Amino acid sequence: MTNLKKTGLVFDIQSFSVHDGPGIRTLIFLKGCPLRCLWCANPEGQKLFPEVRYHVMKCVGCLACAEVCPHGAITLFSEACREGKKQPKICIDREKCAKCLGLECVAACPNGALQLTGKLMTVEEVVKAVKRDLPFYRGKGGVTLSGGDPVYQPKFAIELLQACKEEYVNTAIESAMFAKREKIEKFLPVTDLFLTDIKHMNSKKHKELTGVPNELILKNIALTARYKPVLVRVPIIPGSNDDDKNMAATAAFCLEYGITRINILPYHKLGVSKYEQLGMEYLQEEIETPDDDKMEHIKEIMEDMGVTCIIN
Amino acid sequence: MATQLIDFEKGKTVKWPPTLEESAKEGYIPREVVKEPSTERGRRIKQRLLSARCMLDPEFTMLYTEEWKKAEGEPLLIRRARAYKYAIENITPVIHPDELIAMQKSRYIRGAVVYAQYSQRYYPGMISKAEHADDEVYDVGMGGGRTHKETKGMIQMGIFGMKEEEAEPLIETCNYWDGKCIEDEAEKFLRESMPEFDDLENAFKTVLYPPSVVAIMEGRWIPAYDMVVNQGLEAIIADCKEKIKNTIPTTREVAEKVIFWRATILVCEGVINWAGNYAKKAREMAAAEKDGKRKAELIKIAENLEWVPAKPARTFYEGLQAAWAAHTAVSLDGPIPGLSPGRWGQLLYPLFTKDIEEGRLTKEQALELMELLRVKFSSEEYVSSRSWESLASGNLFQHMIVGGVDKNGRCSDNQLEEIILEAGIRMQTIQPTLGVEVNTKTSDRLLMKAAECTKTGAGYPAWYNNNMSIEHCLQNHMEEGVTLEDARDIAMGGCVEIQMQGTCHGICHPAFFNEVKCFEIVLNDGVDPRTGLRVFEPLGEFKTFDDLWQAWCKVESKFMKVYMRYWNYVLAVHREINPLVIGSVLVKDCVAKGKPLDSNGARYNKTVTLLNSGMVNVANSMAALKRLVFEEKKYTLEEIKEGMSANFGFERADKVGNFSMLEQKRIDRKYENLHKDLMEAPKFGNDDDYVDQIFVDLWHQYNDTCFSETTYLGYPWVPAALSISAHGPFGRVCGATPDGRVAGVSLTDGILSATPGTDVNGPIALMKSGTKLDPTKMRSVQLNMKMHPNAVKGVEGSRKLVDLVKLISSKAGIMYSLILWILIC
Repeated sequence: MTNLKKTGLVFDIQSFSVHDGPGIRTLIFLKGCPLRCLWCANPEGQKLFPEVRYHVMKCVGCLACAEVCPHGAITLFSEACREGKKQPKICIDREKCAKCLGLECVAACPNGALQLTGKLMTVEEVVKAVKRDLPFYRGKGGVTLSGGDPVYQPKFAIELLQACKEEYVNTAIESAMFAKREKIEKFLPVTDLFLTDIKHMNSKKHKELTGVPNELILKNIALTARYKPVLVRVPIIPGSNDDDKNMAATAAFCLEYGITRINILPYHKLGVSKYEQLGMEYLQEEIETPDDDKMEHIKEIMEDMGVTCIIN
Repeated sequence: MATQLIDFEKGKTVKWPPTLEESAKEGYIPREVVKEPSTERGRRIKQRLLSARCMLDPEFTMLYTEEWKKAEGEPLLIRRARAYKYAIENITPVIHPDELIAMQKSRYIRGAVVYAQYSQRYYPGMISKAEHADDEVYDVGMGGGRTHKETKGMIQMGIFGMKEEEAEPLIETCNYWDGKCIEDEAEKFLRESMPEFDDLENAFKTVLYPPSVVAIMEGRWIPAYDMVVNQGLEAIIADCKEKIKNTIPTTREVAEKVIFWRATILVCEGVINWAGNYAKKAREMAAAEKDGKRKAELIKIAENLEWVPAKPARTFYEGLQAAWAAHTAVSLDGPIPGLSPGRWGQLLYPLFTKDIEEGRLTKEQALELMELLRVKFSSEEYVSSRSWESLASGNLFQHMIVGGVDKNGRCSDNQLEEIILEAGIRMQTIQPTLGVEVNTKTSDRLLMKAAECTKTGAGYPAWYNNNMSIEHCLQNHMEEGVTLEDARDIAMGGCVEIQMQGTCHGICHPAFFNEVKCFEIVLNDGVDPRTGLRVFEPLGEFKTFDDLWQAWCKVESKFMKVYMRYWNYVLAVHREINPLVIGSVLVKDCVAKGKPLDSNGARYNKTVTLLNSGMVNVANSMAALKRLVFEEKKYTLEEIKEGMSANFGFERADKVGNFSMLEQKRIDRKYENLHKDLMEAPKFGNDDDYVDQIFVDLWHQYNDTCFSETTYLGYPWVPAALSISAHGPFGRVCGATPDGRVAGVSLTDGILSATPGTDVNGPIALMKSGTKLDPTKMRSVQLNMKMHPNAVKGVEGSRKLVDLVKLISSKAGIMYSLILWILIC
């Protein structure tokens, strides 16, 4: 029996998503990820605790937040604590606020300039949102757990997937697969489709780009592909992993384990503004989104190897 | 009455169209589906329409009035028929270059005709304010875009131009109707007979009701085009002659039938002669035409019009011409914003297939004709007061429908309907607007085509739940003995109101009830805060939420009743001095019964509706008060009212020059926290029962009040839920509200739409909220949804859009039952 009271840290639920997985889907974003990809478009998913997002444009500098902060983490802005390019009105000491549970500042802000990202939800609460979308799945659609990385909150994720299965909902997870084999094995019975990334075939290079080596990831993909459909997605990061050799190696790896479909996703900058809001630094160097010609070229390399390659 | 209080001038007009760079900067991306008219001719005609000037054409009303005077002393229906016949027979036939389908109301490419017998008031005003411009170049104001090189002898009145020499005769015509037209006569009647006349005046002054719509008062319906296309007007004349021969006028009622049939003969003859004038004109033009191809086309036009609309159409081309003639003839009977073609794809399909099979017609030709027809519909403009223009965005609501089922309940969509959608994709004109009736049986093929059409960004088609519409008609017309076959023949009368084709009285309504204004009056103890007028006796202190609720019910039902009764007085006058004649002839069973529409001649007469705007604002406001004042007791009602009168510390919207909540500026921080708490109170559109239940209760209250009143046709009023663009002007006259909306900001659009920015759980939660309201008894329930093009990109995206719509319409899971107006932007 599923434990509906089990809680997890969720930072977004997107209804009517048409991109991640087949059909109309509900996306559940779980917080926490072991990787630190330089280009990460969901930086609010990285840490396994609630964070405050600061929207400079909405802030009038009233300091209502500073007045209520029990940790003294918020001060009037000074050049010394500049976080990004925009001119903020307040300065948040992220070290001090990392362990805060009260989040009084968010409640105090009258203008919605401080917003919470990540809240504890029970399996039951998430399932309620899923049930709302249920009639729209029609066999094809379903639930996709994303993040962050759902494997980083395995107990909650598995309970949640289990609860979905009890409602006969198609389930998918989007994971980097950087976890112990035993953990991944637990996901196999409750997950219908695995969406995973191969960011680089060279482990050393992989570590430079993401902070972790790739051996474990590749092993897990190989294991999973034996039992369940796996869709491999390759983010195309110009200058980092888009060389022909790496692309060919990726395709070869997939073919070896019977994975015949690869999606290639062009790098984009849609997440950049979130870094400033979270007081994080965007470490990816300035690069442009790869053009259509480049994407077509990669598609050609992969298709020559014998996989079906889809752009986006 | 209240027009001058609504400040439209300050609303900035956006520059249109934006350049590519401007679009990109605003985050717009190009439409996925972009197509051109299929022929060079179509491209030329479209360009001509877009660059044409709007013209006011008083020819019809002047001729009408001339004969009306001469026919004094005749029985009313005969007098009406004679005036109509004389006018239509004598208006100037104009065939524009390149046209294949001829005839229109006015002499112009974009023209509006005048109906002075309804309201004579504003034409003299328009003319006296007109600018006389000789050989000057200037931008025609309001909306901008078109620049016209003025020619001598033209005057400009707002967006309409008119021949200078017609100004005086038009004023004379109006002077004749002064004190005699429906509006003037109704005012006398109301003033002398209506017990609640003071309440009525107050309601107009406070803009609980918008200014009078009598000038464009006719209802919205779908004529029985099959009577013209398949039978021909000669058959109707013959039928009436036969009936007259076999009827001895005994009682008054029987004698009146004979008079109606005589009137029918007159108007039908008028329409046939009018078509004859066009045929003659086409022959003359053909004789003078040097280009052989055009000459042949003109001869074909003449041949068509020498046959239809008198006789049954033999080809698709004739059928289309006949249907168009019928549409135009009816629209000359009175100002009918919402005269809808309905299911022409069904009407003309037998002729279409016959022509295709026998090799007379190609699909390409059919497509070109349907494209050209779109331009004909778009050429029809109408004049109305500026207040109505802003309430309804100047739209003529001629609605063409594809999809649905046949009389036996089988899926009936066909190739011609696909062509209609394709024509809508290629010839993007504002009229006719398109709608798709989605039945559980409708083919994916048609729906995918409709999705393609949606993806052009043209703003059509609207998507309707056919199964629920049928259920509504069966329920609504139960007491009139509705048949299942009739209920299945559904289209839209006007914008989004369900109507059976060719068998119903027009959906006639006084206009919109301003719900937010009503709520302001409740909160201010019966006084309108803007004008200071006391319009209701003091309501006492609200100690509980129930006190507030009871006060609301009292005030809302009183003013709704006054509004409905007012309309009965107006329509009683309409029936006595201006019953519809040709409009009646082409609705079943007026001829069979020998009665015009005004005397319950139609087969179904429970069609009069009341509309409103702003219910979501009231629901959100009530939820905020319920939680913060009556449950949590965080604020007193007085504290919240103080915040409201201080506009929550915001600048006035008209000073900001923008009426969207997003653009409002806070100038005083005193009410910051109060405003935040109000904004964070439960909002409709998030599947939150707390507020959704209030929303549902509000509608039940509204519906019950509607049902409690009787229309001038003797049936209960029907609640309709649509607001067109009333939310804009209504918002201007309403102060800050407890849902966090500040003064002057537009009310919430649509009916099931959430207040912009407050639905944060996605489209499915929004629909879940909306569908808590059972709409079976309501004439229409509408939801506007806007999607980013990327969400429905490619064939896969179209599939997902179709899936979404089908699921909304299907019985599976939750019972969805609404009209979905999906815009791609």
